[in-house]
Amino acid sequence: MNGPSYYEFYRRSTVGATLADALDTLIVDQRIQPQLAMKVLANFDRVTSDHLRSDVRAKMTFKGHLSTYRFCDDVWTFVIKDVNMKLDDNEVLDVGKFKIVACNSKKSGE
Amino acid sequence: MSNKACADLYTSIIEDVILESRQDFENAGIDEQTLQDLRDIWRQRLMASKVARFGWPEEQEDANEDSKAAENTEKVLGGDESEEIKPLIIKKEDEADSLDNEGGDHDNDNEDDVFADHKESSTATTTAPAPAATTNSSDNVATTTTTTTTTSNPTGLAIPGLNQNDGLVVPSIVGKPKKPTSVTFSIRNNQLDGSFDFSFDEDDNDIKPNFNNNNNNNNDVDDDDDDDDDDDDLGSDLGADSDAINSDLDDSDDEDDDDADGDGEDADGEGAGNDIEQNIMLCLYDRVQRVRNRWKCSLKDGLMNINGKDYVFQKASGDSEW
Repeated sequence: MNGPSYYEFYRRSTVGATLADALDTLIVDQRIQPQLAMKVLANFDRVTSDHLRSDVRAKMTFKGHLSTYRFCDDVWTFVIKDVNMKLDDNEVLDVGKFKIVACNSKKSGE
Repeated sequence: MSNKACADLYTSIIEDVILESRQDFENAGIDEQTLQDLRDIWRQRLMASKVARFGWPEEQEDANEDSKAAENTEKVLGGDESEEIKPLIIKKEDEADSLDNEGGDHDNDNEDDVFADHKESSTATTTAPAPAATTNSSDNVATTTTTTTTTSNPTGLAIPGLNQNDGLVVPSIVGKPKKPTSVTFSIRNNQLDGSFDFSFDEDDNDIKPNFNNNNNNNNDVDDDDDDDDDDDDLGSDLGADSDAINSDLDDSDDEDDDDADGDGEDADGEGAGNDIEQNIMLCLYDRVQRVRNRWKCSLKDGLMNINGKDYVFQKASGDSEW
């Protein structure tokens, strides 16, 4: 691909996993080729990254006990327990266990 | 609310991905209907995940179904409650009767006596033969080894598998020529003394082929179900360490998966191999700082799933102590 490259890890999200599921259904039914599915997923990577950067305005903060931290291949992974999250509109969420996968924002091809 | 923003974001992502994939579909010679079907399937899967409320027309039907289902469950719950109340009332009446009438007390006393008898008998069976069991088990090993060599004809299948069990079924077979009474004692003994693990293991061995050799002794030690019991504790990691290299690393992932399985069975049932991860945040990091055990991170452009609902954020700041 020419131009900037995009992270593929948003495919793990709900919207990405359901897309992969739908593509898989079409592949199993032999209605599309896997190569086309890869292109669609690449489109998803680009569209999702762009929309997250441009469309979303929500902010949040969270506090918790850091259970595990890991830094590998420029990717931070945290497992945080007893998390208290504060979202917009004073919405508060309590989560027992919570995992963060964070890629470097400076290399995201933007 | 970022959950609403999430629905809007997903809607626009779907539209744009379909839009930008149209050229790819044309280049691949795939018709427009397939592209539309992709969008429909995608939407259906996303709605089935129930991570957010989408404004799509199909979802209204789902919402109606949900409300109906909720009503049904409420009805069912109501029925259960009314049924549960009755026995409570009866119990209260019984208590009142027992307080009023001495006959009720006599009945209770009788019951207590019966219970006491049970207790005494059970304790008698548990305590008395306890040392006998250990000796019996050693005897059993000896006898079974001899029987395997000498008289393996009638029960030849069962005997080898029972050797390492020291256990339940061996005596019933082997003990018949010896002393049936002591054998039955040892059976009860094992059942009462032993933890459930033992009985389960032996049940498994009964069901499965009985040709388990001494290698299974090791398996039995490992299969003591301690891992299962301690899954919630830190001790499971210790147990996993003793099993094999990488097992504890895999274990942590398994725990995550188990959490996801437990919370989101719907997603599991539909997404074969594409299970939606629960309680995960996918984002970019601007900065990760640590001062002693205090970690601060500033994140952005995140998608996350919390307790089955999806959220999005532009910026997030985290503060956690290790």
